Amino acid sequence: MSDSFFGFDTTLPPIDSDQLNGLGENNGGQKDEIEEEELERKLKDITLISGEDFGVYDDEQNFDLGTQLEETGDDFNDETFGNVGDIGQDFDYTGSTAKIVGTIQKEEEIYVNRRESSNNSENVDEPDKRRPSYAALWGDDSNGIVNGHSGETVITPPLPEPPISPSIWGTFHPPPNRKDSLTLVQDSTIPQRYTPPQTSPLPPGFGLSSHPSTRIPIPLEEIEAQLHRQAGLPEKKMLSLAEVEAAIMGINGRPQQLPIHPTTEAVYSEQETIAYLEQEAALREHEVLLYHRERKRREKQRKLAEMSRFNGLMTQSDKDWINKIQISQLVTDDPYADDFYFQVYSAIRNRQTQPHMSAFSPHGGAGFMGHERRHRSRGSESGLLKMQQQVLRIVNDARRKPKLTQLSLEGALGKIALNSVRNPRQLLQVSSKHNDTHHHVGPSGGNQQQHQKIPSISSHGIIDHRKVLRSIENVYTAVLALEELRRNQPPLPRPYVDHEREAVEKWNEEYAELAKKMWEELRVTEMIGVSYPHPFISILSVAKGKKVIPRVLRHCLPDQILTLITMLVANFETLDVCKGAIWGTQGIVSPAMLDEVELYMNTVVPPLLQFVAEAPMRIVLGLFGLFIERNNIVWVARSKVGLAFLTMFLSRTEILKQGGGAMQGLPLPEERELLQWQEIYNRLFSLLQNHFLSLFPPFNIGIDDMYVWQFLAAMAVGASTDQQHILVTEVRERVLDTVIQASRLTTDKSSSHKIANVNLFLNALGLDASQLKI
Amino acid sequence: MTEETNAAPVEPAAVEEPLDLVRLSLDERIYVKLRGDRELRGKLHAYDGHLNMVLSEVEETITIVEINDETYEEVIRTVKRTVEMLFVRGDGVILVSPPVRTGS
Repeated sequence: MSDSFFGFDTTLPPIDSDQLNGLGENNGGQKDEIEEEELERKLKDITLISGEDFGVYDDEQNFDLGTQLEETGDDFNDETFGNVGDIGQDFDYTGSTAKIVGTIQKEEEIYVNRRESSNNSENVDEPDKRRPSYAALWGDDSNGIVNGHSGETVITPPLPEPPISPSIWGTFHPPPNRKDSLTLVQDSTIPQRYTPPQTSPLPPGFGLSSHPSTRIPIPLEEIEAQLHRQAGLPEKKMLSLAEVEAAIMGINGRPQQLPIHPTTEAVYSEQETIAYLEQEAALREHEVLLYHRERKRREKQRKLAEMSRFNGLMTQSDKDWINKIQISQLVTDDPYADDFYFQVYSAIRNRQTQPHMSAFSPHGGAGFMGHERRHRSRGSESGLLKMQQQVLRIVNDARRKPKLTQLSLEGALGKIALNSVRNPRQLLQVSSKHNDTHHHVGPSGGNQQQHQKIPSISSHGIIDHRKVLRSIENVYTAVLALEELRRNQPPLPRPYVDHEREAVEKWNEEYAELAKKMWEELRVTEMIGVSYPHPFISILSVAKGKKVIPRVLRHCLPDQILTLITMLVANFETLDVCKGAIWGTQGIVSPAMLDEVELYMNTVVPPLLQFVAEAPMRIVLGLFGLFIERNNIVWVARSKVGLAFLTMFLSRTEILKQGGGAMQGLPLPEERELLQWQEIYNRLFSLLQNHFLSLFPPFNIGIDDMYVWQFLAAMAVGASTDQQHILVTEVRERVLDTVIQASRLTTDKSSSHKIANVNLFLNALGLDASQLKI
Repeated sequence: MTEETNAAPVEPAAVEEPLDLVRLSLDERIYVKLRGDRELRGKLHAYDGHLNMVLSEVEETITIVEINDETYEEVIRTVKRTVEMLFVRGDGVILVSPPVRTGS
């Protein structure tokens, strides 16, 4: 009708796409309605007639029937294509394509609707609502989502590109008539979704192919691809209507894959209404369930994807390397020095919980692994094992090559400082005469130079307090090093194992050297009388100097201990705890000094007491005599520490006199020694005579005077009858005061304690506080 | 070094570098001035080159200056608290003072 603008003769009046779409839609809708009405009617009939329960709607059955009844949808094909008439040679492909886009989309909707109606044949009024909800739910991912009801794959747009295999194209022959083509397509076992003949040029207005029966939405790309293919062969002859039909059927037919067809009246007529309603309800529940499940799954997947973005960026060796860097900072050969607090803490903890487990393993880094063990007990066992092995390896490596603090590269000027935990970057450059700025950090830090420079302090006479403190620090350094050495003491060498023997010898050498240094730092052997007070006494006059004594004595030989005690006894009255803590009649001792006295009694006295308690008579007498000789006894005895020493000597000699030395394999004291003892005792007694009462701390100031009663008891044991009489006479007042006070005290405890104190003395005389008449 | 070799009897000073002073104050009660108008008095247990310190029986004194909203008067008050054991980070330390000797 229209003049062909380009010289093409088109017999068709130009139909715009809207019209075409409208046609398609109308037809489709019309047909659907007809089908549905018919379906319902038939179903009712069947139900009424048979009354049978046809059971669950079967997917397979449905599928097959749908396939069989496929061609009914093609009823309007003739009508549609009849209008086409002669196919022109309009190659306005883009226009055609653009036209069909909308059509295809509409068709897809129709198709989907029809599919729905076929799946849920009873709910003919539902599908339109249902489908969009589905689409909204599944969104773009709806491909391949399993429909809960039918169990088949719902194919929704966009369709994946169908496989167009050459074999399909090769086997396809445009059939002479429609029926043949249908049979051919249906019989074909190859799933053919889209099989237009390769040679057929498209008719003008390809949108016509969007006949309502076109149930498979064809992706635009596919059509385009087809068009391009054909554009390459424009000289090919035009196809007859039948051929075009066949081609379209090939496209639309897809007999093997088209799952369900709405016009399967026979099938639906056999179904039961109630069953479907139930199924529908179940389906909805299932959908909700699926929806939630799916949403959870997606959320999880999204998170996983987020996390796994960097998966595989590092190889295992990369990870190992990072681990190594991190762990190597923690590894130490000397956990006691570098991780002291943890070691002590874990030792205490282990003692409480698992006494069998040793606080630290023989290799370093034990603390670190201890942490690991506790925190990662659950899961990742293999990872933990790997980590442990790595730590072990690193520790061994670190042992083999000591840590470098500097690195000089070949060809580079200067050195590069390697910073680590123990060698941090220095911010301050404090110039030091000797390069041991870190001597306070580790006990093993070199102090050799300092040791060598220790002068004889005696040349000056007056000791700088700072030098005393410095000596104490040096003693501590040496003691720590010795303790460290003790912990790493090699095992006893087996015979004929040279390297073990060598190790022990080397250890012995080191130990002896350090012990010697420590001994020198103590200044015990300084000459007496050159400086006042004696350097050793000065050390003892500082709290930390007192505290170090028990640790020092552990590394001392018996001879050295004897020397130390001798020096202490000889200079006793210059001790701060002696001269500063003398009780006079109105004596006042500061609380700080009382603390010092307490500290001295708890630190210095016990190891010395232990030494004296094992000493033979000769040595004890020597010390005893020296003590009385060198000190102002009346004065010293008024201090707690002085009295404690006197008590110590008295009780030890008394034990030895009575043969108590047999326990240490010591013989009974010789006659000469007994005479010597008597001499010393008499001297002590005469010195203290008329002063016994002054030994007591002031009455009623809350000081426990037990140590005085102990001393008096020790005196009483060795005293002659005359001396005992003097003793009792002198302290009688105190005894009575104490007993009277005790009787007035309400609390049993302090009362009995006071009585017990008095009884210490009275029992030594063969008396008892209960015999006293107040 | 040359000094020492030709003057052997001369005693080396007990304090040869600043940190020696801190070292000698171990186990003593020291005074530490900190940034933020804080002062500490406590027994020094440990220290390092950064003047990180462990103190025990610490008395901390914080000086607070408050300005009266109406009169704009500065009111200085101090808050004291005691801590049994304290780790002092060295970067806040302004001054460390050894204990003052009363005797000798």
